Amino acid sequence: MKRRLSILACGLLSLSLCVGSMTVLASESGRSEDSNIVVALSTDIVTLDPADTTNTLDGGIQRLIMDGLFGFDENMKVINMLATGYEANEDATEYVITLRQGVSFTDGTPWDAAAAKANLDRLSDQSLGLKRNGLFNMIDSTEIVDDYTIKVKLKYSFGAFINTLAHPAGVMMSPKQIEAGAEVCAQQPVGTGQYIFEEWKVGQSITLKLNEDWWGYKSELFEDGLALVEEDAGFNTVLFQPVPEAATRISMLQAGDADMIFPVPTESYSVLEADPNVTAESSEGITVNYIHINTHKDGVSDVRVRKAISMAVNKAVYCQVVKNGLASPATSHMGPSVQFYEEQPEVPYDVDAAKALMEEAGYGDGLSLTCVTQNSSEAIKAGEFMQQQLSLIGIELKIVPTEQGTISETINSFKGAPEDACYDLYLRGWSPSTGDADWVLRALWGSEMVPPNGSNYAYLMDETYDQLMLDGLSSADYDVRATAYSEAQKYLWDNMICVPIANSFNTWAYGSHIENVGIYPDGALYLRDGSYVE
Amino acid sequence: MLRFTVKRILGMIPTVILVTIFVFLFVRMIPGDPARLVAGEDASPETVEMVREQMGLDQPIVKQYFDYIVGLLHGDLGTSLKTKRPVIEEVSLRYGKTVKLAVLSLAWSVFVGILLGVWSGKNRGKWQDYLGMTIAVSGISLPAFGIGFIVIIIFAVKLHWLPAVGAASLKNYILPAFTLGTSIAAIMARFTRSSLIEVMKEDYIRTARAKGLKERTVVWKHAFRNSMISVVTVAGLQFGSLLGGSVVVESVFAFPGLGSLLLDSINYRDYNTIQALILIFALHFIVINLIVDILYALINPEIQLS
Repeated sequence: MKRRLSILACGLLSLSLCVGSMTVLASESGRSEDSNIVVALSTDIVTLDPADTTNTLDGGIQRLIMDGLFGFDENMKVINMLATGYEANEDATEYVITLRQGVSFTDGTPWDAAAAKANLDRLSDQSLGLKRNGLFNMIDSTEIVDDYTIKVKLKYSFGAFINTLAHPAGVMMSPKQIEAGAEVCAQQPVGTGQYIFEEWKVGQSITLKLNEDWWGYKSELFEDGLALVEEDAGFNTVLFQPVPEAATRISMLQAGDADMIFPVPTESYSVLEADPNVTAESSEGITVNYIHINTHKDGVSDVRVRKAISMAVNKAVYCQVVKNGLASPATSHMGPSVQFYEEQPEVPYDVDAAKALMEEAGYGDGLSLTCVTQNSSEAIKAGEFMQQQLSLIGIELKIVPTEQGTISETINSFKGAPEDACYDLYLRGWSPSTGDADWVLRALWGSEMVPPNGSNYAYLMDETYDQLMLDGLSSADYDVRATAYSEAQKYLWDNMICVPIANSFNTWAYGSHIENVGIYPDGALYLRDGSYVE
Repeated sequence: MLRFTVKRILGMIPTVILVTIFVFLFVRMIPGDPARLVAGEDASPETVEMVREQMGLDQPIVKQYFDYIVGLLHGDLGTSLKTKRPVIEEVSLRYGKTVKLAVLSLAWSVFVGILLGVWSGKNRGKWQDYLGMTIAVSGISLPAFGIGFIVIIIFAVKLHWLPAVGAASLKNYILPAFTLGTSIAAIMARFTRSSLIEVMKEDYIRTARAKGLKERTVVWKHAFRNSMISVVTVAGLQFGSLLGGSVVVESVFAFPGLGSLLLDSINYRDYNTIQALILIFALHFIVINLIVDILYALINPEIQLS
């Protein structure tokens, strides 16, 4: 009997655990129907410290809590935020920035020159080892001119400085938090922003609540008398939830468990477009998909071969096949929304001409190349597409799908000679989050950016080109900079140092009960104007 | 019994030490540089080196291991390289949820699996058997992510009965627990069935029947108990793997458990978190094996613990 009981107990135990946890757990209910929205994102939030963030999604959330001196409008044009203007000296080494008055941090600390200095000092202090300190390496010192004016001195000419300040990492937090240390900055940010950080359940969600006193609502703070956003813009609360599986994000939106999702995989986009309760949108981002070419490798060191590759890849078909129509053929080495973009003459898709070029270069019998891609299904699909296209001109492409951690070691941290790098071609996108030409043209092809120092995957080391990069930074004057970057784009295009394929679109979707939400071209959330439709 | 338990627990120590060494080395053998991943793709080498120093990865490997062990003995699992929070905090935030999900999944699946197995086993070769085993084979064959999406579409999108994701309330556990338990129920059913069929051939079953006992008593009192040995083993192993969190199911349901934490940590080469998780998973199996051994003795006193 006793034994029988023990077995029964085992069975009952499992049942009672089931029932027991049911009674304990059955408490919370679903989403309330106010203007509280849930945004499902693809990755978990790592930190809320803007100076220590490298991923765009975290940056997007931080930008709701904290404002920068400068920011971007929805088209990536720089606008004044906590600054009202600036003046640069001729060689772009000194910037005098005037600050907006009548603004406070949400902890009551006033926004003034001292607060701005505290932030810029932190961003530029290279001894802190924060991930974004390098971005502000050019800052030498910040001086307080008066309560609402600062003067920033740079170590060298840097014409892209204002764009750098507009970068998501350049948002300002309360000096009190800075004083409290890195951990507080990372976990309890306080800014001047439209939203106030409320709660972070690690691995589950982050909740922000509306800051009704946000300066962006106050028209009297603006010279033209127009507030930054409409009075009724904003949501009572915004809850961000990481949902790694794309199909699950879509189900959540359709089930009403989420009000906005980002990103929407291109293959699911049409499904959501057809759903009457959902608005699916896309817009051209600043990410360009490239075939990076190691210009030191046999075969591809020849400009004719590179041009042949460029002619043999049908970019329009790539946009349809690999990107499901959610991309546009690349027309320069940077995207149209990036400052100083200039359209280049079209390279027509022409297999015969490409073959002739291959022949001329001495590769009429064929050429075998190694192509590294990331290991996502879209990246592999892109690789296979290139494989098929290039096979038509006698190039045999060996695709090596590689996981990001391995890429970071074998490509980004590679210290050997360019000829020994593990790839001839490398499929990779790039998005300059400053919105400025410098952070794509110099970041990808400046000779100081050769791995392991940066992302010059082409191993381009060209003095003429480097001089153009210096010229572009030598002044804050628009025309001076534009001339340099125009020439640089032409140089890259003529020599086909790398083959730009397509400008990726950002894709997002939201329930039809909200409006004016979207994604910046740089891939960060744009919720500033968002509102609930009754 | 007590002596046995103490002996077994002491016997765990060398295993645990071996596990720590292997985990420590294996994690560092994965290609990829955590300092580079933490610092970001466009970080300068100086930043990467500074990050490496902060993370202590510039130290000799023996010193790193020594520090790790000293930390462990003080109950310190280190700091997550990714979030800079203590690993113990990262793990404990998810541990309870994974355990809850594992218990719920196992509870329903063991119960259903055993019933299905006994039903099939005692009706061997009849329609009940075929039906039961068809259900079981389907349960094993359907991939978890497939079942996951099907139940999300039915119960969350179409019927709006249950939430698709998260772990906020019990409602959130129903779909993932169902999904995780399906294959376990199927496995349990098959093991119970074959084990029961074996036992039903034994002489003492014939004796029991000859004594004129009711079939129900024969099956449940005499046959079932003896067929439980292999069933308990299987259930224990399944519970061990459930406690490791399921990467696939947790991704589908955006469930904040240990599986998704492990996947995240591997992608990020978050050495400290990977080490901690694998050590915990190893401990789970060691403890579960101990419990299973004790259960053997409870089920069949002829098995001597010593």
